[in-house]
Amino acid sequence: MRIGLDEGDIDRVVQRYRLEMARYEAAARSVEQRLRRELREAAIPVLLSSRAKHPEDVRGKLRARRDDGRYVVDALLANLNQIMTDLAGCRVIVYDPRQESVAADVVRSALPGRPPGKADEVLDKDSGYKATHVLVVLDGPEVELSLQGAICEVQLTSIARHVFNELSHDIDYKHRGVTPGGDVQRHLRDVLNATQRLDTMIERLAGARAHELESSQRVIDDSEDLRFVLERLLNRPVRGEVGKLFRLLSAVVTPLTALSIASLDVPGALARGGRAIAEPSGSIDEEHDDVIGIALGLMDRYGETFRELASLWRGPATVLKRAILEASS
Amino acid sequence: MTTPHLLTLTELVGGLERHKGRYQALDVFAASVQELRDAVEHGRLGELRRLDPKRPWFGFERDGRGYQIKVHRGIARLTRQPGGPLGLSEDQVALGLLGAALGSTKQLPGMLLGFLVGSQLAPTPDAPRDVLTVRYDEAEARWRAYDGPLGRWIREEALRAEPAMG
Repeated sequence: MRIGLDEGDIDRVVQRYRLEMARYEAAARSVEQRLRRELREAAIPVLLSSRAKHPEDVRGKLRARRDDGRYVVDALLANLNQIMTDLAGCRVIVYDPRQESVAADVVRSALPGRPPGKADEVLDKDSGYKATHVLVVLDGPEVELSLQGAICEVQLTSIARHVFNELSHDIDYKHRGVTPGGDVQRHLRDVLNATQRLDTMIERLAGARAHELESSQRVIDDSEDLRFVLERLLNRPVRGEVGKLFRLLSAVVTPLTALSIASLDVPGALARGGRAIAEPSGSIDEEHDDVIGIALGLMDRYGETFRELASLWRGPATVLKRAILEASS
Repeated sequence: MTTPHLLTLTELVGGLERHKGRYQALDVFAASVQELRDAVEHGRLGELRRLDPKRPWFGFERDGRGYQIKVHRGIARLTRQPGGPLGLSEDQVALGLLGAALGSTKQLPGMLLGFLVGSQLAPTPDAPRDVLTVRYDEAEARWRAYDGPLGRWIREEALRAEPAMG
């Protein structure tokens, strides 16, 4: 087997990719649409985008890796996506950097297929690049036949960090023969510093907003505000379908304010729900999240109603819906 | 065009008692209640008995139990009758009050909605309360929980009318 790619090899692979590019565009779009729904349910505000890698970017990457032992022409022609896993890409940009890991959990749970031997990467490089990369494989009965097995790279980062990541990437990889000089390096460091400060300021803003909601009588009228209040009560990010929890709570309690949510004893409900999840096996399944714990912990009070409401939810049965329908009050 | 289904007093009682005493009141759009519309349209209170000389508050019985229905700003609130004799005599003043309070300008959403109001979660004046928005399922002839887009509408209307309900 010949190691190393020449320009003829690269041309063949790029030509082959052109024929397959529509599949990767569809795969990326499918991931984006799925995540849009799931992240909305989780009440995490995000910017989402997706793309298939441009053929000239594929060419550039092949050139850069032409001496990499994995980049063998026969293997690339047989299954390019197994080697180049970012042909389909989806980007999830959160506002509050603390929500990057929560959003990554949503990705993992919504799209559980993983390529063998590829672990998630939580990157915090010396260069300043910071993001979480999750590789997902499109599979399952709801995925179109033509997309089955396609790998998509989901990148998650904060909006502030995204600015730095993109500028820095363009300077590093697309310098077009002009090496970045001292001024550019210095300004890039300034951008990184500003990015870090903006991340911190957004965290503070979100914390102050949560505090404001907690101490006011204002009615919580959307799931994002409910997330603020829950995170304040639990003093940590909340995982799960906050959108569905908002529907449950707003159906059974009025007025729904930070005060009324506190009066439900959310930490106590979470503890009770955790015990309910752990029975009878005694262990908590990884699928079960905070929202499921809170909902199950409130079943003694609202079980009948929660079951009735959950049975009305349309779409595929989520773990939360199943947990509610199967729980005893 | 088929005539829209209206809620009867019996169906309202079924909604209030569905949760076996958990909720104290069921609020619905008054224009959705058959007996209230009949009273205004035909000029007769029928089985309704006046409970208050100045307000459109009425009593009636189902299965030997007393209930009261109060109407304000287009909302009718059904509660259990605390006891005692049922009502004053029927008169035209009551019908006039009822007609004004029925809220003829309220548009029906093509759906029969109700808002169940229960007890407070804590013994403080502004404490939140147990509530549940419900929808009358005509096909199954029963009330079901509802958390769709019109839920907020009936809730806001009901809470706006509540202070006048005594």
